[in-house]
Amino acid sequence: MSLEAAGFWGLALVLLASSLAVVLSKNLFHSVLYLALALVATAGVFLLLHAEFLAAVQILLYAGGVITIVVFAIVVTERLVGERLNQTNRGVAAGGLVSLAVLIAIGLFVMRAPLPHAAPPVAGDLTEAIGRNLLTRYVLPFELLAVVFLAALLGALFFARKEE
Amino acid sequence: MDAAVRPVAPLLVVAGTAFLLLVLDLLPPRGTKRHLGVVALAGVVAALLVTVVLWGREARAFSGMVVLDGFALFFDVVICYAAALVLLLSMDYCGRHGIESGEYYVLVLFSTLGMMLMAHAADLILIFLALELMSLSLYVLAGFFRWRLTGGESAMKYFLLGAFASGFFVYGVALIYGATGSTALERIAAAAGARPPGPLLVVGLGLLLVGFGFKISSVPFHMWAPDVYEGAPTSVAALIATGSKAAGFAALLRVLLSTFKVVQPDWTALLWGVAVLTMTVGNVVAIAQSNVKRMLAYSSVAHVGYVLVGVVAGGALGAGGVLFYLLVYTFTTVGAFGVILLLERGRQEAVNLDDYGGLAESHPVLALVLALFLLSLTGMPPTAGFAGKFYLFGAAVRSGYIWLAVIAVLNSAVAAYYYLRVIVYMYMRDREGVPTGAVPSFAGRLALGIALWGVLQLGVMPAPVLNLAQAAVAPLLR
Repeated sequence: MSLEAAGFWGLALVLLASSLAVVLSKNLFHSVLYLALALVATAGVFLLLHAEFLAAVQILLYAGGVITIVVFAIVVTERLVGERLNQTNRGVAAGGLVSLAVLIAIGLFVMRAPLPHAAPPVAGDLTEAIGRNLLTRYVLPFELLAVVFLAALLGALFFARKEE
Repeated sequence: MDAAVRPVAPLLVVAGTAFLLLVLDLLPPRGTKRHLGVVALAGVVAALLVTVVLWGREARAFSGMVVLDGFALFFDVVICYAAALVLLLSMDYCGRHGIESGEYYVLVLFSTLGMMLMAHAADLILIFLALELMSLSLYVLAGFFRWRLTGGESAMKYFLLGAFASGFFVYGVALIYGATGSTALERIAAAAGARPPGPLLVVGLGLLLVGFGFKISSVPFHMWAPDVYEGAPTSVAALIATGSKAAGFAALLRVLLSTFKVVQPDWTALLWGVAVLTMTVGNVVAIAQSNVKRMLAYSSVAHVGYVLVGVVAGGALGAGGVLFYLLVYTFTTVGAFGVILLLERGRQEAVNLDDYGGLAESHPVLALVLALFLLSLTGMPPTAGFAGKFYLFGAAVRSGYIWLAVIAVLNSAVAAYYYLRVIVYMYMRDREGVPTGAVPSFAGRLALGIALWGVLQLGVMPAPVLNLAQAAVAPLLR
């Protein structure tokens, strides 16, 4: 087994275990910490695939930004509700069944899909290429994203504003 | 005009107006925000004029991501009409219900921008972003009655289900990228045509269809429509029912006709079933509604089914019929919502069927106008609804989908029951209790007048616009 394969299986194990812990842990706060671990492990998978930029974005946005927001949400709602929030798993059996069905469907699908056997070679500095593409070929989607965020901000402000 | 920005000129006008409004909103308060509505309306009308000036041109820009063709321009006209009529209807309505604000008009323009971009986009990434811009703005607009329980329900339901549908859409885009190595529609078409379609491509297209199905509210992804329409401001419900559906069909038609021609038999068979289900469920459930807004919501679901009949029929007749019908449907539906929005009973919007008892006696003109819109929704001559349905179902028969046409006609007969019921209430019932009153609103009446002109003009002389619609789909069928 090559070093790369060993790294992949190790990361896969961490990813699976932490993902399971997210949904199975009773304490909501622990769930969030496991989620952070799962997101970092995903960044590791990206690194193995030579997508350094994507890995950095994954850590910055998800492990950094999203997790912080979720923690805030838990702290604020616990104060509003006035009690510890626990995660209840009443539908474990049904959820497991659905997950199994999805797993089988994806497994069959991946086996039948024509996937390349070896990873295509990566040439040059990917981050630089992404930067160039964002501001040339993909400049319109890039700028449009700014408008999408503006609309989202306006909406958030509207709902957060106090009644007049 | 610079050739690089020409394909997006109408979009730039709308975007520019939205940014101008954001700044104008910061100026010292003037009591009302009505002037912002006037500026927004001027922007949309200017975009409509730019569209007319650009008519007949073809161009591409931004590495082929955006196209300017007759198809996109036709949808620009439909969407600008929808937005302009909704803005006219909003001006007094928002002030009356205490939801007038700068954000309202800015978000209407942002959603309009997203809709128009969906018609112009020739790249799955851009289609997705345009879809998100349109949807995000509409989620917020749907919740503008934020102190009402139904307003919150409307926005939350739309947002959660919409976000879920967007997830399906992006997953589909990813799989198609995996199968073909590109997100540009042209390259996908070339790659898909080069070899027999594999599972990646087919599953990807299926996921895309789920996303689109939600946005156009086809069965089984229609569940959100009645609750969202009921809780949203009526003007916003009109925009969701017309503009966002037209935009959804614009992107859907471009993707299906120009890109996935290889698997046309497959998606035709699928959409055949979806069309039948959508028509039937929409019409049957609409019968049971006593709330007029909910009734119109289910009716709009049924109309999506009729439009899908045209998509299934395909060719210049079917696709042209779809474009024509969407224009007709926009005038008719905005008009019907517009009459509801002008009626009040006991300081509440007149949304119950009972509120319409004896309306013909107290408000003969409004009752007649609503009756004409409802007849157009039913598909009675000489209104535009008849011409629209005639071309759609005729195209289905020509393409050999006789059974589909039969089911569609039977559905129209079922639909007549609940449309005519409102007319019966207005003309043959006596009013009970507090009388229903009409709100004085010049802008609102102007909007109704334009919508009525559209319904009658397209009903009496459909041929010129139908020819334009058929010419507009020609580039997709090449």
